[in-house]
Amino acid sequence: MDLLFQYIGLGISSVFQGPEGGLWLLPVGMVLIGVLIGIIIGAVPGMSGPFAMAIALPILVSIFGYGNEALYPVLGCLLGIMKGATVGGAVPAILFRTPGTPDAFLTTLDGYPMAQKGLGRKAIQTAHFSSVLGDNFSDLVLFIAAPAIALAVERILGLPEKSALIILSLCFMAAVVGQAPLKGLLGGLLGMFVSLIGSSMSGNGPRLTFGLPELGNGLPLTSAVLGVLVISEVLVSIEDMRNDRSSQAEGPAKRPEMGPRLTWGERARMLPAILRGASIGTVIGALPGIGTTTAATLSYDSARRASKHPEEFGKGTPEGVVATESANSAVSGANLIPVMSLGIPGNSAAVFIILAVETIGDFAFGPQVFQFTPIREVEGFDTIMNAGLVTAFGMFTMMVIANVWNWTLGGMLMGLLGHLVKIPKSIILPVILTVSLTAAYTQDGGYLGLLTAAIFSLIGYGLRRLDVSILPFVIGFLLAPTLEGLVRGAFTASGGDPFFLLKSPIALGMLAVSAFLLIRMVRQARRA
Amino acid sequence: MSSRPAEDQADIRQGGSWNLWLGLGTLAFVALCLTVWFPRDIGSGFLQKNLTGRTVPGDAFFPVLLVGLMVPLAVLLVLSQLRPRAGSSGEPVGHIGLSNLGFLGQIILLTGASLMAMNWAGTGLVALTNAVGLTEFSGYRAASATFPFDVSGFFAGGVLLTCGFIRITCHRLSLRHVLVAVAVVAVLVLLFDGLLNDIQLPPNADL
Repeated sequence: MDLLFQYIGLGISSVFQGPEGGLWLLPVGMVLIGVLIGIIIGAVPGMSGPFAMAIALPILVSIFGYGNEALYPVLGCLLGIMKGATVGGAVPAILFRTPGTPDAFLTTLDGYPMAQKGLGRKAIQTAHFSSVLGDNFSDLVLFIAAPAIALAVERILGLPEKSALIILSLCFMAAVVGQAPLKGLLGGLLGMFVSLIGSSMSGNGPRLTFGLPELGNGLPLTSAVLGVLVISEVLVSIEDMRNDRSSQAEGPAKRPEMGPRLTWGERARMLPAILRGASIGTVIGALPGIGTTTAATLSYDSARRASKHPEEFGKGTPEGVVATESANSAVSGANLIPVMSLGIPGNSAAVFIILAVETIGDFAFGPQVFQFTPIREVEGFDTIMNAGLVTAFGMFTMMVIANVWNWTLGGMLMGLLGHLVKIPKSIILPVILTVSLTAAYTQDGGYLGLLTAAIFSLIGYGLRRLDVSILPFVIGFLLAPTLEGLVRGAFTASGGDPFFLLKSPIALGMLAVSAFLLIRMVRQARRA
Repeated sequence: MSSRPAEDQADIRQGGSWNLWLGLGTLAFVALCLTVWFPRDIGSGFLQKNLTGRTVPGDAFFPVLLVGLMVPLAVLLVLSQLRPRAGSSGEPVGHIGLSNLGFLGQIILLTGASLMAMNWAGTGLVALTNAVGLTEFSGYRAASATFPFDVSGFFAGGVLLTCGFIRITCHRLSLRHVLVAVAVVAVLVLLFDGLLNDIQLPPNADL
């Protein structure tokens, strides 16, 4: 226990202590900037947390560089954006029935009618209270679950089991994301394949480069993810707007009466419902691939079934706002559970957190992070400890700081954000495109980065238009190097046994579940 | 991140043959990889002997496993389309039609034209200022660290790109739109060229 507290103490102090040992407020400031950006971006229709994180990452790397000391400022800003965006999306949803972020869509069902009844302020404060409390709850679960899962994984799972776990995660993600799981899984394999371009595992030179020396260091990671995840989405939206002339004339409705404030008594009565929504959001968020919309939908349905007045749902009951906001915000902390404990990203926001860690410094997510190595000072050398664990607790500290900013600034800002809905999506999308392409050029080696972003955006466009979910492709792209290392290691350790993945009962069990998911996908495909 | 238009939902059913094309395309891709691409572009084989004589995976090991796993999935996709259950039409799939290809052509042209503007505006500006006697640069490379020449290409191409896409989304281009584009690109110039060191805007990293 002493060791745990020692590491927690080191983690907290690492956020406030600069590389030279003096007081360092840069990470705290960057968390604040991130939260502000997140809240504002969340309130702009057409934007979302992952969009802002995608654009911010290359800019942050340009500012802070690739060294270890850049990790906290960059991660602080990204975590702040992720958390701030969960709060901001509710404001236009409540005041104008225009959700700032997709997960705030269900908030419109009861938030907007509340605002129309003259209870706009109460609805916004309900959304803020539920959202931040739900987020805090899932953070607490993350702080406890991530180390526990990581320790269990590191103790129980060897190379074949870890390989099987990644295969299972990919199958699970393909099965639950989108309507076309077979194509989702094919997309995941394609993503893995593409990430092998330019890499080498046995010192025989880069592979699959078509003889182009520019590809010798592999594809630029950030540009590729920016292209497939963000630019392709922007292109699809731009094309939809190009084909749809009717929505142009429609402007936002007039801002409704704000009405009375939310009382402390009302807040106290909401706590059980918030706890239920946050629990649903946390469980859903911890599973890879299942997003905020599913969490909000399940929570809304569950709240309606549990309510004494289910008929009031959809007509402006605060219970509806509590259910959706507590659940969709709880996803943001919980989706870091698989990231921090296993190194497996579960949603778009987590992808950019992983990307930041892979781009900057030498810290890497995975079960090895949570090894509680005894802290020993070796005379004349240095202190021996697990620096990754200190960084992990530093990340947790920054998440707590982001929560504090969300409680204080979030509450103040939310009432002022209504006018952001007037920023037209038709202007925002081209601006995002220009900024994204510029960021790809500046961070990833000039036209190579730009070309990579462009090609991957076309791949993403094609996948989206064919209804193949993007997430397995991106996750496959990011996980391929890890999976290849594990599979090669397991094969070598088995002495070249072709059935190396089937020798362990745990790996066999995981592969059996993967096979079951595959059979389910095929049956689903034949029934569709 | 964005909602799907209603017409696309209808396309899901119409685009069933895409499953077939995707499955067959994947099988063709796998065949191409195994017979042409991998043998020519991967330095070591599926397995190799290391210095101690132990059999270890070569660089082709994982790529072959990956494309190998694609085969059953592609076959299942084709079969689910060819032999669906009664009343079903195979796995849901969208559609890419001529209209989509037209849109892609439009944005590729627009982006290409903007990149051309980025590449040549700086050179043009240097030639112009040399011609009127304001400067005596030997070429754009010599001026590429001097304001405003260093950002002129990005400024021209960036404004063209932003205006072009605003024209597509708004179906018109007003003076306000152009001012928004100018302001956005000016902010990017200020951020990347003014505030950050060692960052090069297009096309300066590729001279």
